Amino acid sequence: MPAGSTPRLVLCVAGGLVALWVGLTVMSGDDAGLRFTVIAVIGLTGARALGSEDTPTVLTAVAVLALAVAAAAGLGADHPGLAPYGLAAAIAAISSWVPIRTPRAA
Amino acid sequence: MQPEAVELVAFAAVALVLALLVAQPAASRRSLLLRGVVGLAGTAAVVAAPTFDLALLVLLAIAILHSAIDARRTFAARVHLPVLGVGLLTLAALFARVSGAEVLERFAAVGLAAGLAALVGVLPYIHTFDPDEPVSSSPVAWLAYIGPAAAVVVVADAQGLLAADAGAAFGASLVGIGLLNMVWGSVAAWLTETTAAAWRYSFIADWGLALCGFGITLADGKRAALVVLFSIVLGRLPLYFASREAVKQKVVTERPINLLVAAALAGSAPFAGFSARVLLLRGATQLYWPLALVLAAGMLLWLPASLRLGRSLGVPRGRHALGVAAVLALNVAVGLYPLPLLAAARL
Repeated sequence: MPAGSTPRLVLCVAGGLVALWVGLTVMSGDDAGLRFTVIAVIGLTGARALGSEDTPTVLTAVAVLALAVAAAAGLGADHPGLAPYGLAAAIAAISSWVPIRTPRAA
Repeated sequence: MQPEAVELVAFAAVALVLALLVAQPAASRRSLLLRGVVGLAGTAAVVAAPTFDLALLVLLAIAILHSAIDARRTFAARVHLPVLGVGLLTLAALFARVSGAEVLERFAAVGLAAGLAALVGVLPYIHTFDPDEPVSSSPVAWLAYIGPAAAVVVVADAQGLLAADAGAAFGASLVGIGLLNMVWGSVAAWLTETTAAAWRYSFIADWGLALCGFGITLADGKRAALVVLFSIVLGRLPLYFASREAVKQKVVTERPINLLVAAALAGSAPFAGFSARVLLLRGATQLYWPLALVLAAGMLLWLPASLRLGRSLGVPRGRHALGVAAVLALNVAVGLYPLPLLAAARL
């Protein structure tokens, strides 16, 4: 999709409409701030993790995604306790030092 | 805890024993045991997790560990789909919890179905595949070892999160994805060039049946899904392990054992796949009879692929033969009398 092309224009308009819809429906009511944060973080880290082949970048995105999943637990009707936050923190910490070897050549 | 998910963890433990029995070099058996036990512990933690969010976090941890195993594909290539699956499932759960527009519930239903497909690695999201990669680090680990119990947890939690209308949309999405996987998987397993890739597509085709079973929200649908998942974990997976050496050496044999294995893989009587298909067709007939026609037509597509895969097993000898015989005996037992399996899962 080169800059200025029709598909890119269509994607921009569609993205704008989705953003408008999110603004109208998701950013109101109780816990709107947390809800918007979780959606934005999952969207951005998901895109980063899927769009990159660089291992440290993907690991960083996965660490942030884990924290967003734990934050989403706070939106439920029941209090989630400390378990999701602790587990997400452990995943984020492990992601920063997990040893990744370069793939063997065929 | 879901009893059927607990049962699937037990099947995975038995599958690990069978895989150790038929795995070829001793060195590979040691690493298989270590990876298998870690994977089994992770799957058990997913099943034991008291909330959906905790289960998702455990799945994310398993994805990181699995992708960090030394293998031929890059870390990023292996972690992409589980991350997409966890992200979609989290967003879907969030939409299901938001009180507001009705369309959010529909988004939640579609997101849960899409997240489940991405997590397991079935169409429209499939992993990259390297035929020479060890099974423990390949996408088959998600398709046949971690995926079945995780799918049961996701489906059970999804039904708790969604209201009745959205639950129906979730079921319909699963049936749609299931039909796509049935047709694409079985045709690809028949026509693809390499036999290892054909085995991978055959797992995807079986997952199509399981997803249709989950989508048919009647007791027979759930029963069918459980028996299909049994035939994946304790049928197709150990047979895939048993065929690895013959596939590498491109050995093709047409002995009676190859035809028996082909029959088991095709889901013909008296193997477990047959009772799963009967339950699925019965459930589909009760729900919407044209669906049963489509399913019955789709099930015929298993035949050519299964004959191909059965021939690729070679002629098993020694412990290899013992493992194959145990797999066939287990599948015949469940095919003839699936009631204990279903009763243990309270279905």
